[in-house]
Amino acid sequence: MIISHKLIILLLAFLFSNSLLSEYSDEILSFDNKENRVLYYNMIEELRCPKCQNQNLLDSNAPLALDLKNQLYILVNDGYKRNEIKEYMRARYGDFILYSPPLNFKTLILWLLPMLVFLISVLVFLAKFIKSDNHEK
Amino acid sequence: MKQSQLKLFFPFLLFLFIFIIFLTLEEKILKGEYDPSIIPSALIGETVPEFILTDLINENIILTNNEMPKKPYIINVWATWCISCRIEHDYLLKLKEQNVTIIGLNYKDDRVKSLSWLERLGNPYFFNLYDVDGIFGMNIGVYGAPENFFVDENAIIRYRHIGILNDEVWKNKIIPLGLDW
Repeated sequence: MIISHKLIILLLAFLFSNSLLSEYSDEILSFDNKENRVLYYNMIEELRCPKCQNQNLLDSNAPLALDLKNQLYILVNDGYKRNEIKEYMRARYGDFILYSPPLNFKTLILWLLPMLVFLISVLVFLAKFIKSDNHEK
Repeated sequence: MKQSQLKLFFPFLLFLFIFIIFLTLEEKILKGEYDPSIIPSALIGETVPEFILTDLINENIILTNNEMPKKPYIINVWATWCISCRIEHDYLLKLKEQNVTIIGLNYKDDRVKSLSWLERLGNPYFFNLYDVDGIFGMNIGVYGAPENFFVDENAIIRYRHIGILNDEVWKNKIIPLGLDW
């Protein structure tokens, strides 16, 4: 019992240490207001580093990620809105830079497959359910 | 009974199906037909972004879009820290001999080091843009070096090649563009 408590505390510690690190490991940036700060920290998690494939700007140590973060900081302080920032980045690095892909022909399967799998599993489940129901009668 | 036994194989078949997909993908990567690290350029069909930069060799010369050639040219992204650029360099010299206009984009590099590189290895460039902060690089979507942008006589970017430019790329990708070098 005691061990499991300790384990939970340890796991919680890991959980929070990660988010703390990610917020404050960088140099301290100043923003005009809280919204800009939130926008900046949201965007570095949402934008993908083009150089390092499966890391966002926050995680990546690549020089390019640093450049993009600096540019993002400038854009945020210039009053760019979320969509304008996304469009700015997309115009330069394409859809690749967005972790949430837009819905188009190329990405159709990404969007439809989960729904399709869900639908099929519901149908399979229902079919089984009805079958066993009949069997009992 | 027979049917329910068949059902047992369904997960295995699904696994096999996914396995084959991954295997063919892996095969393509090994053969070099598909490279997941290459991301398509967002600037194909767009004009070259605006810039104001200094010339690499003479820092008193200011270069803008107006100084770009009025005929097809290559923007070659290079730097002295880029090992592949060293390999590519000899091919660029060869292209220069064939009267292909190459504009260098000296990307996030040191002026002194770059000048000694050109002195030592030869200068295939019409001129070089000195982009020390990588701002123009960012505006044209550079994410590494070497990169080559193929621009037509109307300043429209027609193709981007990631990685080393060589004879094979020239034959397969650049000649079909039909640009009059």
